[in-house]
Amino acid sequence: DPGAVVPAPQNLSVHSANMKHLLVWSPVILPGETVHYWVEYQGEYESLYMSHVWIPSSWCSPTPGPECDVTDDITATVPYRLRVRATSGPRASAWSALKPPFNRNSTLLLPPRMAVRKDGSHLVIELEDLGPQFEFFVTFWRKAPGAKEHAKVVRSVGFPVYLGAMEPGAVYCVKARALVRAIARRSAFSQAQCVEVQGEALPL
Amino acid sequence: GLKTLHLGSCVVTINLQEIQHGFSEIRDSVQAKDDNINIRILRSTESLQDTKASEKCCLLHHLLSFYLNRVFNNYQTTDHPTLRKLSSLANSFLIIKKDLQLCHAHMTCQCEEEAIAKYNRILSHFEELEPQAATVKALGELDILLRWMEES
Amino acid sequence: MPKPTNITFFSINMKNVLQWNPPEGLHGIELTYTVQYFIYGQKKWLSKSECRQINRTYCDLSTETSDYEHQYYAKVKAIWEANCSEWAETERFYPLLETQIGPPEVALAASEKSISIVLTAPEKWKRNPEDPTVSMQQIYSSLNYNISVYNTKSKRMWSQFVTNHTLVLSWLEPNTLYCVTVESFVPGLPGHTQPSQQCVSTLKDQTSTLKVK
Repeated sequence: DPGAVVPAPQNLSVHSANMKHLLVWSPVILPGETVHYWVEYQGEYESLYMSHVWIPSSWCSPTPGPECDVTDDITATVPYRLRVRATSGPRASAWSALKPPFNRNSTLLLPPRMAVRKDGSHLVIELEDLGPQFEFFVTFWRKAPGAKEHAKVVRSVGFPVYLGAMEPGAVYCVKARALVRAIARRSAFSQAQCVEVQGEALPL
Repeated sequence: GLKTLHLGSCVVTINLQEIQHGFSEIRDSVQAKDDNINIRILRSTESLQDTKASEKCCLLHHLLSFYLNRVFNNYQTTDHPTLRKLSSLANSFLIIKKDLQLCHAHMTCQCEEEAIAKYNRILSHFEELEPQAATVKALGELDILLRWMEES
Repeated sequence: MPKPTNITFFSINMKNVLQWNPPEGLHGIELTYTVQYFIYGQKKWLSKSECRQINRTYCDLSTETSDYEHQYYAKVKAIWEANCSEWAETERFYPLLETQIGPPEVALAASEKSISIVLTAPEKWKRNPEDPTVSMQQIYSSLNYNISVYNTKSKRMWSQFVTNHTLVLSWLEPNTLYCVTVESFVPGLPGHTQPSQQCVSTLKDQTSTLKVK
């Protein structure tokens, strides 16, 4: 019905994990019509200094589905106001606003996935690439009573990073947690992974 | 990573690299719109260089307010990617300004005459130009301001 | 007459060379070029006598742009007989943000199970060889190095970021060729240049040689 009002999207919420932010809402159902959605945002600056200005989202102006990746739009650690409206042809719904505004410091930080291995006598770790905001706090230790724990902050991802040299015949364990300084938060530690080095243990 | 600014007894941590990266993506297009290349607003010798640590906090506080009140909100563009980068820069500046306001509240960001004089010199260069040309130039000189912050 | 094209500064360790392509459609014609440069915020365009009516398509402006806290423009026009093109102009050039950092000098020394690496920071371009040396480390305090080590026997590689200039790789396999690649890296600066690569072999394991006897 070309004259019918397009209902505004409802139930807006943001699912955010590891600094990836997804705005979702309930789909608007108009039988026989194609619905698109338009997402806009304001950071705290716009709210305070330019409240009339809303910025079209990077990826959802428009979008066909009831969700929008706003990660590239939420680029400062301030509250962001987000709004969505539906359109069908020339007709548009009212705007629906996310309440309360979203701040990226509420993102869920998960322990990083990692691969620990040995290259000869060297302990090496490879961490998953979670994006430029991430650093990793890595601790490693020789599995022996009273063994000292070593720590290293690793920023390189996607390729093997050297942690330390291992003594023959020993078992070494590693665990890591994600650090995001931009929001001053860190994840829990991952499960420890251990590797054993061949060869006879050195005489004490 | 993050950068710690030592501004006299005011110490703030900022995401300078994220800000620099954001500006680098619009730098050429903004600077290309600046036709007055014989005028420079942020002048090393006159205002930025040799600023005592104790003055830096006040000068930076004034400069951030200047950019928030008179530059970011007056830069005219219909290009959405540029608009988003400006928003990112402005909101990052807003965070730094809030941190400096905390210092101000704790009396560690006091303004002395010299810092105000330096800021006024910058303002006078800005006001020499027609408003939109001045806005374009000030925005185009963000790399100079960010470099000065990096050295603090 | 069309302008020269693709005019840019190519900068490594603050050696700033202006380069451009000939105007389109004029290949085979004997052109000459004239270059001028401008210091942002100053009053007028300046000439460089060594780059007036030249045949080549580059001009070293390192001396003229050596104050890396300043920002610059450069422009070039093509000349053919009595005709000359419009000026082709660069974007604003900020050496401090746009220079690429060259690789460090790398010295390797191997023993049976270790390799010691000594790095020397790349040097800033200087006008005369006798001029005092300025290390790029003095300009970029956050300069660090990405060291990659490749074991040619196990075909495995790992990396490590270091800020200091000496590193000892220990617990290596004797009698094995290792290739070490080193790249300079300053957060926030454009990509880095070609890394430097060197290979060295660890010595034979003396204990096994004794057993053989």
